Amino acid sequence: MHEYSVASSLLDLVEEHVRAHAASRVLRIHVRIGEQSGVEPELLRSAWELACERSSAAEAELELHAVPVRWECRACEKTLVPTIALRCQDCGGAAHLAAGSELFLDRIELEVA
Amino acid sequence: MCDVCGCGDPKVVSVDVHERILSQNDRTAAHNRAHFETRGTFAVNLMGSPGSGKTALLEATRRAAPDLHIGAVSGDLATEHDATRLQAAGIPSWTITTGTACHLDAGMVHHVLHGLPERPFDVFFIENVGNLVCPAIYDLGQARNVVALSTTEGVDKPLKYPVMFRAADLVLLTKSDLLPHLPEIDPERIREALARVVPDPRLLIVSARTGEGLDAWVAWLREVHAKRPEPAGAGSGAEHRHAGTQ
Repeated sequence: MHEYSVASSLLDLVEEHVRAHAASRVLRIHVRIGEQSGVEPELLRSAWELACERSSAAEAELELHAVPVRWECRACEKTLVPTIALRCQDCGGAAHLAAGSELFLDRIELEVA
Repeated sequence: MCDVCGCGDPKVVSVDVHERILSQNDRTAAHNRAHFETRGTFAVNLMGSPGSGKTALLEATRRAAPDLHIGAVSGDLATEHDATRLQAAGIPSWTITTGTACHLDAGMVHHVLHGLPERPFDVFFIENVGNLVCPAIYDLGQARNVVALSTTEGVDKPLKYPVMFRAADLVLLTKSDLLPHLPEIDPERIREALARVVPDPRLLIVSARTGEGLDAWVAWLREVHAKRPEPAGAGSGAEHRHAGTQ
């Protein structure tokens, strides 16, 4: 269960911005989380509840935006429907994961004095 | 003022961050990578389940390639057993005891780099904590990821742990000497499962016990090591320097 260490990294990142803006507290946190990011949204949410305790983000709403997996052909950039092998049905090119591996802090809303 | 997000409220500031949550780890990993590259060391992040044969693979690698100067660091929740075994096999080794942490991160590896000897290693193995889930998302500064999957783990592991296998540059099917006792395990089915989660799967079948496949494994190490970036000279900016943010 690595979600707690991900939640701690998220808090570190959020607190950097709290300091930079001399904010009094964090209102909302928007996180983009790919379906193949290796992080489970619900586990991240539970871990976050522990990590954010007694911080300026303790009352913040954590909004998790799931990003579905999308494979794309490396050669012709067409979106692929994965079948038995991860190859482009048209040109035979290898697929790459164009979306779904993200683990991003997108935006935060801060209350400033 | 907007009721939904508070926009328009002068007390509310919306900040576009667009940063990876693990960006601090990524920065430390880039620093580790510079450390390895300036020394001409090929760093391998070796991952796999507990008991998949990672340590035995390294012992066998030492025997199969005595000319390669190999070093290793092993991550374990407790004990220094792996490092002790590797030392006995002639591989200078260090231990990262993670306590309850289920993976290594770049900071833990960085801590070890300062204790490494002057003479650079050709290949440095970072033997991760035995786990097919958590280590997959942490960049440690390695040049390549290798995943050890043992024959007794079943044919569907790549489908069950796609994030880990997608991160692998090479998968080693270990303990091939057991295959005669495992009629239900067909390496072709493992290859097929891998092809469903990885676009360009690479699988080598190896046995630390009989030595099967070790030539191909060592050839892969030598090939990738030979292709490594040229060690950067002084003043190139890629040296192992310590900026303020470690």
